[in-house]
Amino acid sequence: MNALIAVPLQSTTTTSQPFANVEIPTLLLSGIVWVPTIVALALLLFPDRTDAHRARLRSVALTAVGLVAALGVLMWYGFRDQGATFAYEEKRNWMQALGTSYHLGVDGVSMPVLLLSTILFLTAVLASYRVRDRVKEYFFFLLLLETGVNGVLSSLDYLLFFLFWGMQLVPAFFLIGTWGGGPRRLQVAWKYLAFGLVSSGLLLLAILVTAARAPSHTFDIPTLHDAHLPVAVATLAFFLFLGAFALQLPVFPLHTGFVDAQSEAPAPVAAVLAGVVTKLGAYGLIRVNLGEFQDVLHKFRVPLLALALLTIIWPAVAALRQDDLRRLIGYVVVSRLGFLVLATVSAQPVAVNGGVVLMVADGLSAGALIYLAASLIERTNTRSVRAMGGLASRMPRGAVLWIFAALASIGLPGLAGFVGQFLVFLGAYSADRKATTIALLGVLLTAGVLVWTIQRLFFGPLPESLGSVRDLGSLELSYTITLVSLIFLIGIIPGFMLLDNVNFGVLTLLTRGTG
Amino acid sequence: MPLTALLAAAAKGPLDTWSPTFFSGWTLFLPLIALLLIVTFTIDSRRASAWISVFFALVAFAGAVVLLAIELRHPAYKEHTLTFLQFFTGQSGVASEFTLQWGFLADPLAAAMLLMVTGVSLFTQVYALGYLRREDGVVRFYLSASFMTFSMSGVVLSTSYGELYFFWALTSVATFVLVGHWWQRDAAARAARKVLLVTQVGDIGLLAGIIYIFFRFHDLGFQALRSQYAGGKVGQNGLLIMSLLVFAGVVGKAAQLPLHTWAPDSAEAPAPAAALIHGAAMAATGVYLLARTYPLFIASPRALTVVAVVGGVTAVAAALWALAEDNLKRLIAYATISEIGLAVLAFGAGAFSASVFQAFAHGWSKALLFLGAGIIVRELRTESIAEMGGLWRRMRTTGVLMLIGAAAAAGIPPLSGFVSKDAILSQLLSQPNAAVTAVVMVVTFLSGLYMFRMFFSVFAGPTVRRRRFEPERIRDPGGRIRTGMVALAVFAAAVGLFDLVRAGPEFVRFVTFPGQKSGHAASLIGSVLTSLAALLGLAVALLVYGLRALPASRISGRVPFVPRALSRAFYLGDAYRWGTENAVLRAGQVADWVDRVVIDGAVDRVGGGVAGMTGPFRWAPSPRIPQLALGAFAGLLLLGILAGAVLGHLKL
Amino acid sequence: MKTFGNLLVFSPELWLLAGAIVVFLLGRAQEDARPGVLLALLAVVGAFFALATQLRSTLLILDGAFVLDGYAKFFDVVFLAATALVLVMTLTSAGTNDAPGASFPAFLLLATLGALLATSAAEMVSLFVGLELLSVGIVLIAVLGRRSVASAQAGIIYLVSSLAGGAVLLYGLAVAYGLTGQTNLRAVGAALSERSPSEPAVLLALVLLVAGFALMLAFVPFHWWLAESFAGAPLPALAFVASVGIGAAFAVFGRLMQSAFAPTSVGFATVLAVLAAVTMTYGSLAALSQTSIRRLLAYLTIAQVGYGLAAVAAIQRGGANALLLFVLTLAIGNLGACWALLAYSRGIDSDRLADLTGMSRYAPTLALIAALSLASIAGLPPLAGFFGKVFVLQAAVQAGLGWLAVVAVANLMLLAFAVLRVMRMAYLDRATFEIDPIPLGRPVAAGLGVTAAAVVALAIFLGPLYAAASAGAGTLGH
Repeated sequence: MNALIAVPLQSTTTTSQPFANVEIPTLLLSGIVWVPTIVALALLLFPDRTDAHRARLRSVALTAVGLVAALGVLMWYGFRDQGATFAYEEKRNWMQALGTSYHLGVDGVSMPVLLLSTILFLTAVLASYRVRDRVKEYFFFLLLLETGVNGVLSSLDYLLFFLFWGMQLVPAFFLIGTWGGGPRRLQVAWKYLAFGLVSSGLLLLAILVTAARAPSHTFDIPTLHDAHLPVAVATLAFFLFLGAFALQLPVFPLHTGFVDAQSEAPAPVAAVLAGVVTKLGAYGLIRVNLGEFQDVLHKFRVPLLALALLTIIWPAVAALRQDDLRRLIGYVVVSRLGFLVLATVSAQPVAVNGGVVLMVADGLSAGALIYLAASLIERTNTRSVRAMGGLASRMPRGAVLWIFAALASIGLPGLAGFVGQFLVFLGAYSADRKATTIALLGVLLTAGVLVWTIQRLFFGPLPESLGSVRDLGSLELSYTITLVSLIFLIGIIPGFMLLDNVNFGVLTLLTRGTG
Repeated sequence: MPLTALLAAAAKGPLDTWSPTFFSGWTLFLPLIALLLIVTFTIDSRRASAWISVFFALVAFAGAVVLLAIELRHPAYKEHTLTFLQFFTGQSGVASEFTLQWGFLADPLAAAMLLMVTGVSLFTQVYALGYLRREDGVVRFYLSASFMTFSMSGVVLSTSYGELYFFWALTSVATFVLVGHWWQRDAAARAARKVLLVTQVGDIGLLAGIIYIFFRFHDLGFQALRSQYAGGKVGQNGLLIMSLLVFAGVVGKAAQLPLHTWAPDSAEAPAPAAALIHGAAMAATGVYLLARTYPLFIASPRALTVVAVVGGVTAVAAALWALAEDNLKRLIAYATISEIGLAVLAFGAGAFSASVFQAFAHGWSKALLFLGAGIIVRELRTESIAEMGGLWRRMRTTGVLMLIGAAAAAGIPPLSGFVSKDAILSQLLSQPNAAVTAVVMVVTFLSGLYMFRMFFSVFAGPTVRRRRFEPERIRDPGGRIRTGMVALAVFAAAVGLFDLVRAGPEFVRFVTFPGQKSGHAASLIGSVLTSLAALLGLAVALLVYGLRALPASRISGRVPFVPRALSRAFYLGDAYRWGTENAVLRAGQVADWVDRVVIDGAVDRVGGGVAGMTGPFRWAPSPRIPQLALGAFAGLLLLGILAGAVLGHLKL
Repeated sequence: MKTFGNLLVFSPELWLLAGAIVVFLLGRAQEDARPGVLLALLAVVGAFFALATQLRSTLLILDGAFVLDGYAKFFDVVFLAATALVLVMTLTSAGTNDAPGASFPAFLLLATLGALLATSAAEMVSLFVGLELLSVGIVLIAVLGRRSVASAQAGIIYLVSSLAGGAVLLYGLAVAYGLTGQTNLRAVGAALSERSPSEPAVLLALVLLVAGFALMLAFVPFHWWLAESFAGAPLPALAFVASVGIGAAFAVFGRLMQSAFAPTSVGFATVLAVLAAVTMTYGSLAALSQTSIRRLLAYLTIAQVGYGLAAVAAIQRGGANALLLFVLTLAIGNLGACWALLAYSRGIDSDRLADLTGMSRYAPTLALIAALSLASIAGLPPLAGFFGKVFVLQAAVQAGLGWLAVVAVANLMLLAFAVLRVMRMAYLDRATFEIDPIPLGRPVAAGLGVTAAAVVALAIFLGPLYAAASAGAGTLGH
């Protein structure tokens, strides 16, 4: 196991040989990023004509995401709080003249989300057993999406960051537009793509502005940390980044495309989108807007807080009137994302620690809710909450899991959401009291929506039409229970599971130079 | 973790092994172990699950008894804490390190409450062995009961606000699960939803309070904060806000006005579940939180006044509603609200230990009443007391037990209710405040009245005959149902006796509040006034409902509006429902409309605009050579103009 | 000075010339074009090796009429490689009715020769001669490539526009000569730097110059001819124009703006930036709504030209570097996209975009390469085109043309839309008709495979490429 313990790079200079410095720990991140792509390309060589072929494609994809998840867990095991350095750092010469290099690394902020990503993609492949049409392309895009997401989370170079950012967008578009459920899927996919493209465009501009105006012409994120940009440039870059991440997150009022995508996308894709792709926006906010432009953030604290609050409250209110179960969950997910904005804007160590936990917690619970919703919809042949009811008698396991996932989403103690939410509130309060108080009311609204939904879905008399609904099968149980037990473990031993390793990453991020 | 705690305690040698915190931890984790055992091994076996749960509840109760015994001998505050979360914040001073601890404490207050919680839980579970025998969901009931016991014990044994909130929210969920036990019934499902949502309002208030406390003191431990509230670090207004926010949690969980609406609905739960909620949970959480954080409230006299007013209003209002209520279980639920209101009032008025005793004593009798009501409702297949009557002849044991419960709740000497109300009045008499005294008297009178109204309506008079209902088949329960009820009745009758005969260590003095005089001035006037008020209530009830000398209909006939207002609980619940439907849900409709039409419309408009911009290109002309030459010339001209304009503008 | 002393430096061009002559002589003897193509390929390879022997130095030839500096050599490598790929891929089409005439390889070599000459021209006359050779070569390929009306028309349109462009450019050069009395570009630059940039004569020269290139490069508002000539041009000619033709024009344009008009072009950058913005916006908007494969490719190319123009606008501040890399990515992207799409279009005998549905079934390799190349053209990361455009954007930002960067980024989104629409059709929509899988000759597969590999793998070799481009841009000087 010694080999797995992350060793920070001894020197900060890049090695001149592109393929020198090949040690296992430094290759782990590359593995976690590129294994899905390699397998995706390999999948193209497999035939896709009979059911046996499709089963083989599925198991190859499963092997890939399983391997990646195993890598993630191993890395998490070997991850030691690195203080001011990044773990599993890999830096290769790429375009030295341009100031960009192939620089990967994780710290306490990105590693938990990376782990979440590997786990969610594993469950997503498991949950994709319903996909029977063009299986090869489906897994191809799903695996590409994983590369994009993992790449964004482990890039330590802005250009690389953007590269992966763009890579996660296109697969999502194809996945929604082709394998989506409803008749509107194409329109929704285009809309999702439009939001994503605008986000990428803003991100590209932001990166160019930052790199062009930084004292040292470089795209390297650690080098640019605390770079003293001129105020005007910093403000411009801050807002460009903010726009990009806000679109990805999405914040109010940019959330409609996301909610549509939630209702149209196939369940595994929706789970990945809600669980981890949105978290890329939150991660960007924390890594860049908070980590690099804290001064600007402080200057525009009030409007940003308003944005956070609107993102918390508005979707929660709108969720009250949703009849489409998937849209309802989409709204709840957006509302929860508002807390991440709140944590970022508060710029308090406690809140940011909480934010990182909340990213993981909400990712897990969103995933579980979406999978369970898909199972319900598949069994009842309706998306309408009103048409369901009393299902607890037909599917007790589903009901119990759903209740756990829903309660985790409203921050019930003992479940993962609580720790994150509690810390976010504790920290954010010292930054802004009024905003935190209003955000607390947002929790109430979300709780209202989810509890009401529990009652409407599972309790009360069973409509006759639902008399033959079956309970969850063992495959469905396998991935939902995985998620729910992680929700439990993080809720009960958050320190061991997550937080002990988050702290220093957050501290380093928040520490400003003395200049 | 518990294992480590036990081992850590054991390593200190035989003497320290018997430390009180060892038993707190013991008692705390037993229900959880039962829960895990059931989930893991016996989820499919009703019998095994039930017995595991009861057995662990018994051992937990034994632990609580031992703890109480130790605390009686050595009343001291001890706590055993472990780290839940710890990290650095990079700031300086007290804020440099963020720590959340959890653990379990042992002091007289916790010991007493723990006894009540585990005791009520044990006896209701024994009762349920018989009561739920033919029901669905027995395993589910025992799971939720164990969970409830665990979370209530957790609240009682918490060492810090953070931990307390943790368990506090768990009790909300436990209540949700218990109330929703018969989830197939629409009413139960709605009641369960209401429980979770309404208590969530209070919980959020408590959470806000905790956040505020942390913000000002950078600490959440009860012990560490004890001396800090009054230290001048926070001004009076800050303390007021803190204590009111904490009190919001109490209001939600103990069903005080205006968050009381969930409690009557929670009577939808099966009898043992309702007994658990109303007997143990509401008191153990609500009043206990006040008592645990009393230094905060003492530091803010204005907050104490608010507490007293809320408690008093709730006590009187709920007593009046109980008087007008026709549903047996809802009536008892209103009685709970009123009794706890009285305890809250006592706390607000400064009678701290009497308040705690009120909560402690009320739990037994209330649990007993719910269990009895469960039997009655099951036998009569109705919940309306107007359709009951004449049961004394047919259900003698139940009658006796209900009589004990009602008398204890009503404050008839020498039962527990009397002792607690006497303690409150005696403590209040030493600090003359006529209004508070009057309210206590009125509530005592009313409790006598509604309790015996309930009792006489059910047990006296003729049996109401209904279609397809044969009163002859009604019989007394036996076996485990009776065992559970008898045990509760013993406690309901006896817990006050220590104080009354002044033999052993008096409860009111046993649970002390450091820095506060215990103030039980053995006031004879207090005792006399309390018994008079209670007996007066009994007498009126006897007249009106027992002997029917002055039928209730004659009284309510005179005043047209009041009875209806009373039976609708002053229309508060209706107001909330109206508010939810017309404000919150309407807001949801608006938000949804804005999202779909305005925002999404705008997005589509932009997209359509871009698409529209491509329109002209679709029919792009296909120019031939003459046009090409013409175009080139025009373009050249344009370019020249552009260049000239730009360069001229730049003044190069 | 030794006039012919270092003529050996000219060996790449001589190889091409010799190849062209030999192919001509042979072509009269036989109908089949294959031997000619192979010979031409041999000539290109020879030229390539000749170039490789002198990669390290900057040399002046023929009294400074030509200069073989890093800038020229970078372009030369790109053009030779593109020509070689075109030649390889034409090997397959022998025998079909689209078969190039026997003289096709010779004209292709001549056109390439023109491109090489123009790129390394250091003096106005040689520059003009090189460009004209290029245009004439292309026209001949277009006209002779396929004996059809459409093809002839495409050739004529190209001829007219390049003639008009050449003429206007010639006027511009003449004015510059009149102003300075110099033909050497550096000397012109030195002389012009002493004059006021807003002097009407200087302005006139610049406007004429830009207009000439506008016609050659199809900027808006001179873009019409491109779509028209793409609509009819035979595949090899189209691919050659889209890669080498446009690339060479950019190479010359960049050199002119940097060497001869350096002092003036700073102010003129705004004009170029406006043109760039308009061109890329027009191209990408138009690409969004096309229903014809050829027109789609034409408008995508126009949009690309806008990006190249942006690099030229920023040429004083790192733009040369970006221009070099951009032309490289443009050449490989366009080559792959044009060839893959048009080969399929020829296979199904339809130019309708909607008929691309089913492409992934009937021609999986072509579909994959088309998808990759189109994605590269649209600048989707991590493909080659993305980097080409990022460098342009970076140059624009550094040159203070932030607004142009914004427009360019916005257009990237439009391009992504346009391209994803095609990819969706090719991959995910149900086929509207049934046909047999379209066979793919080995040479085409190899050529397209090279372009696809280049599109994908460019990111890995970006470091050395960037260094080479920097070195090339550095030799351009003032």
